[in-house]
Parts: sequence; C-alpha cells; structure tokens
Amino acid sequence: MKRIHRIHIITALLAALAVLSGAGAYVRNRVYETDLTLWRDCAEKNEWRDMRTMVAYVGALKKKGEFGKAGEMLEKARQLEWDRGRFSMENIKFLVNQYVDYFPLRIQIVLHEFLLDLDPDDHRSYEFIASSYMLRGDMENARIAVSFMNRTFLHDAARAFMGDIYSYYGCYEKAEREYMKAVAKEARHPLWRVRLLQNSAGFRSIAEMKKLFDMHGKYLEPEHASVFTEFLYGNIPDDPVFLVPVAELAYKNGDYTRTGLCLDRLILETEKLPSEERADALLQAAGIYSNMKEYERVYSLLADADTADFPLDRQADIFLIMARICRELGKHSESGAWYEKTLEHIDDPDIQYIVRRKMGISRKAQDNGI
Amino acid sequence: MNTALKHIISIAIIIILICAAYSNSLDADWHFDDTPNILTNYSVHARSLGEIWSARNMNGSFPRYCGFVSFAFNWYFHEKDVTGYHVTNILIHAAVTVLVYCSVYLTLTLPCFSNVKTRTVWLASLFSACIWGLSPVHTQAVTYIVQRLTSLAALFFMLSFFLFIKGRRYMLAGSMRKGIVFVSAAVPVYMMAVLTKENTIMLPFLALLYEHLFLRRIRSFSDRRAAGLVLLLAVGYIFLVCVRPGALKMLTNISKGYEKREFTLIERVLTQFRVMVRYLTLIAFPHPSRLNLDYNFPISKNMLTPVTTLFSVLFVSGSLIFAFLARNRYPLAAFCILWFYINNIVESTILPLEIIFEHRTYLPSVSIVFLLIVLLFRCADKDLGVRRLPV
Repeated sequence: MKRIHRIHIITALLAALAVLSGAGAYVRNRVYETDLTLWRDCAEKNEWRDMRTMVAYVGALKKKGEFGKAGEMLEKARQLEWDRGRFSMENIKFLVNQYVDYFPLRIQIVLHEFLLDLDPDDHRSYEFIASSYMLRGDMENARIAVSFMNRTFLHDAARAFMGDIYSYYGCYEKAEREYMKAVAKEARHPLWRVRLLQNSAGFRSIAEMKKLFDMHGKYLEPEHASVFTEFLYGNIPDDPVFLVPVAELAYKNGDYTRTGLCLDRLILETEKLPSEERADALLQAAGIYSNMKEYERVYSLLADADTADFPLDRQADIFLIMARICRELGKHSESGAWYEKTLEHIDDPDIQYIVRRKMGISRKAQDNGI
Repeated sequence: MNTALKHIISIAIIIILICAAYSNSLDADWHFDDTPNILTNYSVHARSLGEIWSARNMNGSFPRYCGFVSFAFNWYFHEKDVTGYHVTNILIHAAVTVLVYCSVYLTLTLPCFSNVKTRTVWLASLFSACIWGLSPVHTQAVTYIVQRLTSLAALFFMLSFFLFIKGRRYMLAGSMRKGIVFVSAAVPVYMMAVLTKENTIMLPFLALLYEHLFLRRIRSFSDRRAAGLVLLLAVGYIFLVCVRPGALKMLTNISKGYEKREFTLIERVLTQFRVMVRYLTLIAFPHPSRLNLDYNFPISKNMLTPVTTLFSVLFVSGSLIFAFLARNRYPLAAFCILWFYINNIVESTILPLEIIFEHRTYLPSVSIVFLLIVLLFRCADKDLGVRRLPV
C-alpha cells in the first residue's frame, strides 16, 4: 500500500517536471528568435566581458541598422582586449577585420602578413592580403595578389578573384576565362555567374549576352538577382528577350519598382515587334502583373491592345486572362463576355468544358448580383 | 491496458509534448555557423532532386555527408525559409525521443530486470523520454538550425543502438535469423551516424558494454564474442578513415591545432573535467537562465587554478571508479555513467575544439536523465537497477 502511494507521488512529481522542462524549452526558444536576442543574451550572461560575444553582438546591431550602438560596443570590445593585456590570435583577427578598412594599404598588408605568420593555414589571411595588394592599383601588385589567392583552398574563389583583377584592368576575355573556371569549379555559386555576366557585358555582343544570360540567369539567387537586375536594367537593350526575365528576376526578388520599370519598357517595345512576339511579350507582362496583383494594370494593358493580327491561340489566351481579371475586379458581366469570346477561339471540347465551367461561376455570381 | 496501446499512447504523448514545446521556434532566424554551413555553402543549394546528393561540407569534403544532404533536401523545398528547417529539426528530435523511449523500454524488459513491475518499466521509459526530450538544454541542438548535425547523428545512433538491442533480444530468445537481420541493419545505420557527426563513433564500445553488463554473453574481454565486436569496431574505424582522408592527419596533427587556440592540450584536458561537471549540472537543472550559446568558460591552468579543477578531477575519477566497481551490483548505474563519459570522449578530451557547447550534452544526457528517473522509481520498486544478473 505504501509503495502504491510512493509510485503515485513519483509519477506526479515527474509529470510536473516534464511540464516545467517543456515550459523551459519554450522560454529558451525565444532567445533564438533573432541574432540580436541571441547575442544580447550571450553578452549579458558573459557579463559583457567576452570579446567574441561582444563582436557578434556588434554584428547583430549593424544588421539591424543600429550603427551608433554598434560603434560603442565595438570600442568596448577593443578596450576589453586591451585591458586583458594578452592578445589571442582569434581576437586580433576579429579586431583587424573590424578596423582594417581604416588603415593605409601598406599597414593592412603588414597586419595580415603578421596574422599569416601566426597561422599559416588561415585562408582568410591570404584573401585579405590579396585584397590589399589588389587595391594598390597596378598589374604587378595584382599578380602578387593572385599568387596569395592561389594559396587558399577556395579554388573557385581564387579563379573568380583573378577574373576580378583582369576585369579591373580591362582584360575582359582573360577575366571571362577565369570566371568560367570558377563556375566550373563551383557550379552552384551564383555570384561567379553574376560576375561573369557583368564582365562579359563589357565586350560581348547583345546576341552573345543573350546566350550567356540563357545559360546562367536561372542559377541566380534573389540577392544576386537584385544586383544583376540593377546592372541589366542599366545596360541591356530594350528587347523582350532580356526585359521579361529581368522583370521576373526583379519580381522574384521582391523589387516591384524595377519590375514595373522593366514591364513599362517592355510594353513600349512591343509596338516595334512582329505580331506573334508582341502577343507573347504582352502575355508575359500580364502574367507578371497578375502575380503582383496589379489587376487594373493588366486590364488596361490588354484592353488597349490591338489583338486583331495576333495568332488565334494567343488571342484566346488574352481573352481568358481578361475574363479572369474582370472577375477579380468585380466586372462580372464583362467577364462573361470575355469567356464567350474565348470560346469562339477554342476548338478543343475539353478546354471548352473548362471555360464553360468558369463561365458558370461567373454567371452565377452575376445572377446573385455580386 | 495492453502493451501495444500503451506504446501508441506513449509515442503520441512524446510527439505532442515535443511539438508543443518547440512550436515557437518555427520562425527562429539563422545564426552564427548557419551562414557558412547553409546560407553560403552553395553545395547544399539544390535546385533539383538529383542535386541533393552532391551536398558536402563547407570546405568541400564529405565527412558529414548525411547532415548536409538533409540541408540540401530542405533547401530544395524551402530555400531560405527557416520554417521548413525547424519543422525537420523538431521531427528529428521527436524521433530521437521516441527511440530513447523504445531503447529504455527494451532495456528494462531484459531478463535481468524481470522482477521489475510492468507499470514501473512503462512509467520509467515514458518519463525518461519525455524529460530528456523536453529539457531546455537541448534547444541548442534543435532550434539552432545547423546543430541538426548533432540531432540527426543522435537519431542514427539511437536507431542503430535500438536495432542492436532488438536483434540481441531475438537472438537470446532463440530467433537467430531475426536477430541477425536486426543486428546487421544496425551496422549501416551506425555508418550513417558517423557520416553525420564523428562523435557517434563510440557506439560499438557502448554495444560491447551493454552486452557485458546486461546480456552477460561477454564475460571477459578475451571472449570470442567480444573479439567479433572489436572486429566490427575496427571495420567501422577503417571505414571512417577511408571516407575522411583527413581524419588520420587530424589525429596526428593535434598539437598543430592547439597553435590556433588560447589554451594548450593540457589546459583543455584539465578544463574538460570542470566542463563535465557543468554538463551534469545543466542536465540536472537546465533553467533557461543558466543556458548560453557561447560560454566564456575560464581555462584551468593547473590542478589548483581554479581549485574547482581538483574537485572536478576527483568527481569524474570517483564516478568512473564507482562505475567499474559497481558494474555487477548496479549494472544500470554503471552503464549510464559510462554512457555519459564515453559519448563525451570525442568532443571533450584531446581534440583542439572549443571548450564547451550545450549541444554536446545531447546524446550523453540520455543516460543521466534515465539514471535519475530510475533512482526515483527505486523508491517505489527496489528491484529496479540493482538486481544481480543471472550468471
């Protein structure tokens, strides 16, 4: 009997412990919410005495745009290291990396060479030294930079770095070869593709650029796409082959202003194009505007378009989009009319059935007076 | 209540509790090592299912292949959206917790614990899993995305261990074929664990210990069965050296690794005694105010600086001596103590790694939580954990 009581007490105790543990985990998870919450928690728990934590907190503050406070904290971190009277290599690196931009080039190189003496395997030091040499602005120092870069294990970065140097001195073809090697070594590194495209625009023809863009554009990631769309927007000709993917990239990246600018240029450009290409460009522009939920713009774009000489299938696509857009805009009677118009262009009974079903919804909405 | 229903209820409770405790972690941002390992490690940025398999470590090598493939898998579906990564991490953690439950249950239902009441076994298994799985000390291994390497490695480790126990139980019950299937399945799973994180390499030693303490098929280490397991161990280690050509070089260049550190090899080893004690206190009392991503842990310069080093050395040595001396009378306690230290060997001894991280307690803490709960239940059921093994 006594033992039965004991097991009940133990069970209750452990159940309470489990609940408390769960609550503890829930509370602790909040610390991981952002970089700022995490590093502030660390810095507080280390009583603002650990340099690495402080520098990480500085990074989090910078990321949040609190530069004033970041500066104060960085100074505090530097003082901390100074007061200790003993410098660890890791901490010297932290400080050098934070302050290096303020030093003259020669001192940068000396500092980094000093770091390299301490740790000959540290590829970051090679990179820093190479950057410093490259900034000296002549080909001889650039060659030294390349020799340093070649000693890192980041072979793709080394090739891209050489590409940068050649590009910097106007040797675009040599630069292109280096970028190609970088892409071949690290096929998934989108930045090397961006550099390649940027460099090639300096000497390649429009047709060649189109080819390059087809090959590499799809591998770009949003943040690189942003750099690239900005670059392209300033450099590419008014050609739908460029403008549509650039608009799509900008849209994917959330840069709606640039998307709109590209589409405006595209619409202006369509007037010069043959009917089939004009129809495709209009449909692509309408598609991107629809994704942006800019239904009024799609409506005005397509309603004003002269579709008479477009191929029939493209006309049907445009009418169907108009029907959908009208429905989104609450113009139900007009939507029905566009569906009817679409049906005239569709021979396939299966597709006709789908369109009729859509019409049914539209008419029903009309009957209900919505 | 029948056994199957009990297990279903237990597993459901575990999963619900884990999901509830980690429900607020789904939008936790990228931190610290997430950037070089995932965000700027373009080998995990898979754009097709085929590319997932070419994921590799940030320096281009393959030692943590399984973990990086899992990141590539997430990238393919979620790219930079953290939610998918957190959902995967939580599911992995829930799966590890379920395996803890299963392994504890299988252990407590071994013939050597036949006198323990069924209800006690069930409650001890359930609470061991729940309290371990919900411990705030594991938030680093679960919520900090890149630490999936720890939890995924633990998943393979626990699965391999579970398969080993299950297989050996079948063998002892006379179903040799079934037993061989389970034990054989444990081997590739173990290799996957090693290919996720190297700290799981000690599993064969623990299997050997389990065999010796609970199954008593190995009576001495000159036994033929022990020789078989040691052979398996050797195959595993040769495999590791083959998949990671730098492994041998790393072991021979330990002193070089210390040149980059603020501490020497001796200082690190001395400090680790205090770290062990800190880990134990964190496991026993994981209050969020005690947890930290980056501990500013003072280095032990010698046995007396700080003086807690000496106490820690005495404590760790004492517990190891106790485990050795009590291996027959208290096999469970001995096994749990040794599990904790053996699982800490890779990260907390001579390798020139950082001094302390909470995620390093993930796997070792399983046995400590189990032991504490067994000690509590011993108040109600004196047979638990002390019974002499049938020889």
